[in-house]
Amino acid sequence: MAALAASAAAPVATAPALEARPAGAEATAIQAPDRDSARLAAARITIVLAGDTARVEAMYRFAGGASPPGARPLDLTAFRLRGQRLEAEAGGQEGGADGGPHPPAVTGLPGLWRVRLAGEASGAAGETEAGTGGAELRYRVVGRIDRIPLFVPASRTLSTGGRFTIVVRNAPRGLDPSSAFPRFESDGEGALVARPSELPGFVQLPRAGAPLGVGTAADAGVALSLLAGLGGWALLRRRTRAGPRRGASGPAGPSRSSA
Amino acid sequence: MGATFFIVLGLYVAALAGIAAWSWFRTRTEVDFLAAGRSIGPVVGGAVLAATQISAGTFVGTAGRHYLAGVSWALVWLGVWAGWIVSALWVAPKLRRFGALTVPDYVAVRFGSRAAGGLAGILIVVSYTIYLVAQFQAGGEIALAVFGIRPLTAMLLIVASTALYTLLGGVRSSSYIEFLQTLIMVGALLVAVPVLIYRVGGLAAPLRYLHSLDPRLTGWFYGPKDLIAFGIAFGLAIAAAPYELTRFYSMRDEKTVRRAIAVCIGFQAVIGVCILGVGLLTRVLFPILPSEDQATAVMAFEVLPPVVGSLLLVAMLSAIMSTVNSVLLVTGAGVAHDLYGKFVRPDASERRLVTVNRIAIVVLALVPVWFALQKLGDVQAIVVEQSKFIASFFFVPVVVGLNWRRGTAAGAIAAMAGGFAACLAWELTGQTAFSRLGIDAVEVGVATSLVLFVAVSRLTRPAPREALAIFFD
Repeated sequence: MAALAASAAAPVATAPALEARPAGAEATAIQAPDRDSARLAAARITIVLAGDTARVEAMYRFAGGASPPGARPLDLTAFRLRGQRLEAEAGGQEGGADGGPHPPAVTGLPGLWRVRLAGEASGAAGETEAGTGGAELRYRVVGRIDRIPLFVPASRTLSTGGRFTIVVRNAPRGLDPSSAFPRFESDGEGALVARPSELPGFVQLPRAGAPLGVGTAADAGVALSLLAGLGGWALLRRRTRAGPRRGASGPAGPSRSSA
Repeated sequence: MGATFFIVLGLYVAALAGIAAWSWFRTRTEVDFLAAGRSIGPVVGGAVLAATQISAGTFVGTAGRHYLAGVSWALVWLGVWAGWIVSALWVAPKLRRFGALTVPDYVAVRFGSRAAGGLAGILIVVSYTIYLVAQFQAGGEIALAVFGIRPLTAMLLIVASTALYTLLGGVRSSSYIEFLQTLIMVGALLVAVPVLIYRVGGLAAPLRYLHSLDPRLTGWFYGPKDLIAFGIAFGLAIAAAPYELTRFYSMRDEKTVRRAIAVCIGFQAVIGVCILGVGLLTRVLFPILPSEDQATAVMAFEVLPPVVGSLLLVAMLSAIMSTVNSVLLVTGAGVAHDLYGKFVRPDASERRLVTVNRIAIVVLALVPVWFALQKLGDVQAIVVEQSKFIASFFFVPVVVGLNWRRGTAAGAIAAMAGGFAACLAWELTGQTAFSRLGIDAVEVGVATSLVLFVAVSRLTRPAPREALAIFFD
């Protein structure tokens, strides 16, 4: 998968912004290039589980923009599930406002959480180098934590290889790390670590002790469906052949070679 | 997943080699090579039609459009299926009854003109060679993105494997291989989508999320004008696409052709719904990919279990291969059968024609590789453009020509040349100069072709009665 991350750098130079516009005169060019926006270059997410609470610390690095990322407010969104409450604890941008004593406000829309990290209000604005910068957000998910939402910025990712790391501490005992999303591995010290090629919208930690993992069931399912398809076709073919044989040759056309 | 992928790929390549070898021993004549001895039934035929049309544009481009623009892009399928229905009602049965080997054969006989057939052959070779550029480019990008293989290496591997099974068994081997490819595509997608739904926890929450992210993702991202233009380009191109039409010749009879089209629409409906799910759910799983064209590849590699993910990647490669294969058969036949056999060596033996066809396939497979390495445009853009050109120069002579007996050779030549030129001119200048009109190049191309066909046909002598008998009596 490292190759996936490394090679994806190629489209970045011409990659259009995520905000797409409908097809118009140039019907196939559905995105307007946005070379000014910084891209998400790396993120490190640490999740600590405790009972029905997941505490998340997310750190983001940006690159490629024409202006300091902290100069403008940074909007982040996350996948919202029923049965969850989400509370921001702290957040801010490098070169942007530090947010003061209050944590950033989280807005809840149907299916979506949104948070805005303020920009350029503090004296630090403009101190960061153009095109690079960072942001940090700490929040708590309470209630149902089988899927833990991860906030993602509106900008596309900048792929340079191995930039996204997700660490889960205090994972339930008996959890098969490979059945989680993204795929985790144990670090040997009690934590689970994933290094996906792209930043996922959430982390899924299936309940431990399921008799048959979804991966195994799916792998078996596809093998069975292929065999069933081939078997069905073979039976159909046999039945067709057993019946009265239709003309295998169509009527000859006027073409020389088909005559 | 790396080891699993190579095991799955190895099994798949072994199956291809087996089918190609089996077909080699059953291919004796040009009819065997170009029409599989006219032995293909409705299920295999339907799968072949579906696999031929499902290309890198679907797995890479269409999934990417759903990822980026949401649900409304799915309406383009209505244009595709309308094209199939037009074909089933007014094109395929007549062409099958005619029983030729290539579409230029039909043009030459229907209009009583070798020149019209030759022009059709040249336009087919040119336009489909461009189409191959998109397929090779997509293959190169997938291989680079997933495995870090250099695009040139990946393209040459695709050329070598596809050309091999095309060379060995012609339409017979490609038909059975495409049947297998359709089963893999449908099987992998049918399992992949439930896995994705499980990962995102059902459909309700993702749809609410996408709607809040951008209401157009679950509503109207594209306006009616855009969707109509895309639908016309795909639909009219399908109704008259030579690489699809030649597949009708390999089927048993007219009834088989109609049933195969119904089977094809069924396969494509399943694939279309699944690709919609892949695009939308991948947006929930990975909301900010660097390029929407990576949606399916990233999803297959990161989300799916190893065997399913590997099968989906193999399905993507096989979609490219099946389209490359079909195009090579059409362009190879265009050179060997329609140009060499008609104009250069009319007395050439069957064996010589098959040999020339095989040489043409190798050459025509290698030429687009160079263009693909230049990255002339993105995959979906090239596919859409090629569809516009095919519709502009072929829809009227094929569909109207099969159903209006007054059409003449001069009318057909004017329609093909005029439709192609009008589409090209509008793409280069008119689309920008008259952008406020919102008229697409395909609409200009088809309208010009139709007007020229009717006007020039009216002004010239009708085709000989005996030439029309097989189509109209």
